[in-house]
Amino acid sequence: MYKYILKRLLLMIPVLIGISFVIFLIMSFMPGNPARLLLGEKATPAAVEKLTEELGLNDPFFFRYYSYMKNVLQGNFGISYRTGMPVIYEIRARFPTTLKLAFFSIIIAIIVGIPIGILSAVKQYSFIDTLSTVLSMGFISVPPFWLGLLLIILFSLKLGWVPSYGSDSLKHFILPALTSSACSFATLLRMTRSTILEVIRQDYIKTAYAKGASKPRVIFIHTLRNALIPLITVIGINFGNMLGGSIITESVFGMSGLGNLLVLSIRSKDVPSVMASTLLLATLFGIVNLIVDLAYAFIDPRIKFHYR
Amino acid sequence: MSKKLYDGLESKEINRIKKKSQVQFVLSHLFKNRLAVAGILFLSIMIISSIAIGFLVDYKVIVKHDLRNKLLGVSARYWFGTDGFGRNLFYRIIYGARISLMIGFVSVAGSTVLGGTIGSIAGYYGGKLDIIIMRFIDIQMAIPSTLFAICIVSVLGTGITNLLLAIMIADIPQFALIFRSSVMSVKNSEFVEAARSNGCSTYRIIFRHILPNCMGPIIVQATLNLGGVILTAASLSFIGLGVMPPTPEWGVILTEGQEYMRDFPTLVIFPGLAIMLTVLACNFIGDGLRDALDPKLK
Repeated sequence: MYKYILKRLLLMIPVLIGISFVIFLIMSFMPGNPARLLLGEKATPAAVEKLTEELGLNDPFFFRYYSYMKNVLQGNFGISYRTGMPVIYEIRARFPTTLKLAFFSIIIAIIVGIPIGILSAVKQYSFIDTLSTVLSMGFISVPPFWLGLLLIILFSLKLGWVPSYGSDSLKHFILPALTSSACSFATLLRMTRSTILEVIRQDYIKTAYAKGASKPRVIFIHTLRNALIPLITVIGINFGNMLGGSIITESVFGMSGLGNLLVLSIRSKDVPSVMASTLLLATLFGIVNLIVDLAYAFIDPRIKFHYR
Repeated sequence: MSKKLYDGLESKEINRIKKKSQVQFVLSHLFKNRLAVAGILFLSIMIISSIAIGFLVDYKVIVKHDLRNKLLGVSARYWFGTDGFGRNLFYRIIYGARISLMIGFVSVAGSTVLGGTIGSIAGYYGGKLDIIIMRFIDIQMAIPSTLFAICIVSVLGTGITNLLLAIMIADIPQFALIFRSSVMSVKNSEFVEAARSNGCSTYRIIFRHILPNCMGPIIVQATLNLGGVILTAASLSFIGLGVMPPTPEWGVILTEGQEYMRDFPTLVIFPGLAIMLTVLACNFIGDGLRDALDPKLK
């Protein structure tokens, strides 16, 4: 067991190095001279040249990557070209918002998606099943930003129940969390339905019934536990998609999270902020995948046995 | 008199008995699926009308401001009303289909071809080459694809072509993985062995013998991705990192409508519906194809 966890943790290192390298490589092609951006249009060529040298922008690529990573590991993400302040300040202020949003959304998706999925599998081809299939198809296809706008029109502009802009209180998270959970809830529902349907036909379920186990017991203890692995995979993938999707959701609702920071920074060509927010979002995605893999070990006795 | 063929069987009868070809079989199953048929119909109507509008309405009319007619409601002349600049919303949405579908088809085709080449090479040759390619794919898969597309757009800049390229590159690993596993699953089959012993070139073995035998999952993935790509493109344009106004792309139309959404919600509802229905159509077709290609049906 510990061997498995250790192995997964060690495997994480090259992936993180790879991610940072790829993102650094892409960002190095960003047009425009950062020194010029920092100093403004009126700066003299000599001053720009001096700052370029100071920022180390004339150094070879690999050397720049090395020194950037060295700084990142010490918690220094560089100075933002947009604000002139260390990037880490903004990241620290915005990170909890993104995390909270993703967390609330996945909780909503799990609470709504899995029970409806179980229900529609148990009552296959019933009215509930058809309705939930149609609904989930609709929610998979709905553009998240559009759903966000519709929710704003209805619940904040017409009814005035919740605020439409900002991220100050928990109330501000209601609409964004609903928006970004829509797609995950739908995929989770479909996945739950199909996995449960598959498990329900197994012989051991028949055995469980034959032994006189009650229906709820068979569904929740015998079926659900065996269906958990694919479900956890889907939850992990969805969490990752939510981190990517947070860029859109945060823009629609004007929340001050990492996604919104990314959009702002791209518009102002603020490379250090873009690098930092992308790197953090991707790392978070990696950590979620790691947690998913570790969860397998707890759920699936075969993995435990394999790494005994 | 009809020609007798085998032991009294007439040619007509032989045709009846003859097994349906794979394509006929898949199509007949696909057309039995009502949702898939609805999807095909909707997508066809969208494609035809988006082509037709290019001949019927001048592009200048679609982008030209006409402030006297701004924010008109739904009427016989303006089916979906007019937007904040007095432009016909219906025309803009139909013209937008042209851009969104073009981005969708071209970028999916591009990532299929590029991902397919990379994946087939990795799957066919295996060994060290496979390991190296797979590590690259692992790394790219470790970055959420929307995030990756945004990174590329931030470097390339906005515009239809750059948006298309960014989404295409971000989707390559998905296709590479599917091609790789499909190629690996059939490369040791006897018919591939037979082709090799007949002296076929590697190129011919991959393209004529292996790939046609693993097209099923690839076609399904491409159809499902088409919807996803249209969504991503609209999302990026919506946050100002894709197609730029006044080009009538669906995400752009939504952004422009957002300003007036309190009093004129139709400006937001119609373009969003267009995106949703198109993506829904792609998903219905993809699901239908997956069921029709399911080997358990045979």
